[in-house]
Amino acid sequence: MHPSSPRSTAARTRRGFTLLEALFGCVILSVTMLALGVAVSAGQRASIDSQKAVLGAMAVDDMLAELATVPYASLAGYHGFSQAVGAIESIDGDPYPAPFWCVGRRVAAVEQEIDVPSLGVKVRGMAVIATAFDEVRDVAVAEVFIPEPAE
Amino acid sequence: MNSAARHPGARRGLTLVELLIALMITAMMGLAIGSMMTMVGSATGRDSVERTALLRAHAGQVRLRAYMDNALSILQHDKDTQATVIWLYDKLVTDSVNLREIRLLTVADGLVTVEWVAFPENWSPTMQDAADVVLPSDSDFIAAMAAQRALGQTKSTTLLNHVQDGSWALSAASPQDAERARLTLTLDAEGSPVQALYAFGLKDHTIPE
Repeated sequence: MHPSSPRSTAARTRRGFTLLEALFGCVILSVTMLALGVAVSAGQRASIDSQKAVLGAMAVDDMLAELATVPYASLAGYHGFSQAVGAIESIDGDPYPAPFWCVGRRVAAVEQEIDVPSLGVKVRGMAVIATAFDEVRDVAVAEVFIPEPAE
Repeated sequence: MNSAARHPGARRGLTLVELLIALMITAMMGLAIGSMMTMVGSATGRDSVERTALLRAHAGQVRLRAYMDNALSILQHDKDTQATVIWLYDKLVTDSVNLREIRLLTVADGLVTVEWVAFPENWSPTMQDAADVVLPSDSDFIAAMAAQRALGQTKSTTLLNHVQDGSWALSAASPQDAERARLTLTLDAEGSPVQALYAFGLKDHTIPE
């Protein structure tokens, strides 16, 4: 019988991490970092989306206000009018400043007849719809009905 | 004989080198996460300031739109002071501008303000109507408002604050012919200015007599 030497006893007590423990450690660290990254990224995306919604709302309000000055006969000509993302400008050609470069806008102008049975009248006019959009989706929509002027 | 040999059941502690390496790795990880969180916090703070400035800009646009889109005409615009007088409504004498029908919009001292004539409340309606004189279309409306201000007969309200500067652009050379107007503003957002542009349309545009 060979009594165990002090060296072999010490070797047995010097146990490092097993592969499984090391892997568990790595997985926990990765999941934590990933969750942190996803949360930060989602927060920033939400912040950018809310900014685009505000800018889009301002841009479509401006468009409808300017179109309200266009003669009724010319309104239909704005159907399909579009300004690309980062290239929006006023009807008179003033470019919008940098914060607005994340949105574009388009216009739809369609003839419409509104029936008001309680008054017994039908009003013909043009429904003008302004939409602000970014590279992916629409961020704001506003609509106004412009009645056809009397002859 | 070492301690492990003396106490076979005892667990060995970390050596100084192992402890130092572990501390170094922990410190580096902490530093990396800390600097990342600082960057994220700084970016979030900046976003928040810009978002607040944009919301303020939107509120200012809505307030100004209540005046500009309903105005009948832009009566006068001073390019030096960026003071603009609008004819808001035509109540007293048809197609003529009366004192109480005008509004003075100014961009000054970090504020966008609107000022209007308000006669003393103890005046009878007859006295007020008599003082509400007709102003010819070529009048100096800004001076007329200043005269009323000197008499203490104006009121004003702030439409937007923290404004660094602003300038108007009109769709026609003569303000009274302009059907559209744009106001470009630079808003103060805690050191990083945010620019905004408002476009207005005078849908009931009328040239005064």
